[in-house]
Amino acid sequence: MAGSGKIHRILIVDDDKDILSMLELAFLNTSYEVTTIDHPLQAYKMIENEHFDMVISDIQMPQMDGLTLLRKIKNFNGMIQVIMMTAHITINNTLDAFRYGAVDIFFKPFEDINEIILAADNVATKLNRVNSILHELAKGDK
Amino acid sequence: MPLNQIKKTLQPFSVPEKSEFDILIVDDEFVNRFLLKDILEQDGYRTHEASNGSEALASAVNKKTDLILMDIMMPDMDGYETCQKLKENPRTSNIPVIFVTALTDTENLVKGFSVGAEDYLGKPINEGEVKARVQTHLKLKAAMDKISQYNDELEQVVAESSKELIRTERQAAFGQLIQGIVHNLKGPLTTIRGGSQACRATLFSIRKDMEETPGSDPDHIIKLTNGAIKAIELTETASGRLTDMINALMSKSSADQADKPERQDLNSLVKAELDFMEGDLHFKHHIKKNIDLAAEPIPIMAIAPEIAQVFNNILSNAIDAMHGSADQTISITTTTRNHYAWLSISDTGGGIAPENIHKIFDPFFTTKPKHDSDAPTPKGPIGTGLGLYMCMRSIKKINGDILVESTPDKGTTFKIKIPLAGPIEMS
Repeated sequence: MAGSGKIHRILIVDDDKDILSMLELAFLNTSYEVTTIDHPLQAYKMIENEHFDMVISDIQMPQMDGLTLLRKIKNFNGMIQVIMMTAHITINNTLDAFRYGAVDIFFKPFEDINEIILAADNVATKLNRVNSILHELAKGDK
Repeated sequence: MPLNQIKKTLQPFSVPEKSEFDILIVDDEFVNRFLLKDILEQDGYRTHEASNGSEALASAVNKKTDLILMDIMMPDMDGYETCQKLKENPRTSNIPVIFVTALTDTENLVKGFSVGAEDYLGKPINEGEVKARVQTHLKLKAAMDKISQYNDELEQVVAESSKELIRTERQAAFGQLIQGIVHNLKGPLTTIRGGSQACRATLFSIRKDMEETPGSDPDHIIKLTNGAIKAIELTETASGRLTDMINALMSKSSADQADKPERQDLNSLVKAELDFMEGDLHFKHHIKKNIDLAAEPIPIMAIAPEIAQVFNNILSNAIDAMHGSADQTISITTTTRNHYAWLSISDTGGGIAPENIHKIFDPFFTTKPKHDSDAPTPKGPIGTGLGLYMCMRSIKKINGDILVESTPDKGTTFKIKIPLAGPIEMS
């Protein structure tokens, strides 16, 4: 677990509702506040209107693919950390995910679901560290 | 293969022996018949005789007849009328008719030709002229027969090799779809695997909680237990989904093996093909689909893979027609009307140019570029110009039809019409 600090909010985006439920259960015994959505356009609206620290998104989705969503998120707020997942395992998908600013990528079916939680923990640790520095800087500015 | 078949078909042409030809002589005067019979048999031909029009019509139908020599002036039914009747009957219309007549004025000759006669011989007859004209017309007839045989055989060869080409294209398309199908199978697999791992992890943490902190928060334990149950339920549902997908694929692949017409439900065929097309990620994710199938099953007699092929072909054309359009919507409906099943497929693409609409079912006609890197990835028999031609052949074979309506910039609707199968016969 990512130690002390605030509870991080995660938005999980996938057009397969069963996978969303499954991931929600995987995060059941963690300190994250998990929200799921099966539609990428709605997902982006939620990201604009609510606060999320992390997004875990599928790549192949109707209406908007996950790589486009990733670019929009990073454009909107670069602090939001995005983890990608895909069943379409290609070099291009992987390279593009990192090129557009994803922190990690997982291939379906997942080797071990716990790895995604560990990845979220790593992101949370990083965010906590960066946020505490930012917090100090903000104090100094006053 | 087709080339060898064509070579085999195009055997060198030679005119058969005279003794192979049967000539019918029609005249009410015995003497005239005798005279012609004598000349022709001397020359080596076989002859039959008829003494009036009705006899001639019967003989031409019942006996092998390669040429008819006929008098014009006969009681009851004259030569003109007899000739007209011969030409009206498909079984005798190809037999050349030569009038033997004393009426050699222009008016009568024109009348003779207008009822379909090939030539005339003036009376009194001249032996040399009879032999020469008979030989010319028999040669011509033999050549015409051969050409028509070539035509039939070539059409057969074209149909066979087109079928082969379509099959190859379908296999290639299937190969492309496999990737998408496997991709779709990974969805439930991800849930099954992740769900069971999540369940195990939750159970472990329940055990850990109970071991390390006896009397720990019962609400928390219940929450975790419910989570584990939910994870197992998800796994179960997903494995059901996976089984359904695999069963559908297997039944589709065995239905694709059928080669005889069998009783089918048009709705099931359409549904199976649509499931199969989900393997095409562009179709799955980027095309809006309005699907309105009749509530009741629609029985038709058809070869399942051929109907699937026709539907797939028209659907693929529709998807390609919408390439680059802002609104990409496919509407699919099935209905029954006047003893026919109707399957309608509409797209919102650019439509078919009015000057092309009559050509789309012609073999080798295509509006699609054959090699263009900007064109959508070919799915099915695209760019060969054989797709719709083969569709029409398959549907005509079961006494159906394909109708097309198209409005430029609005879209195209294909309507496939197939006779409904009768009630099931009880044996």
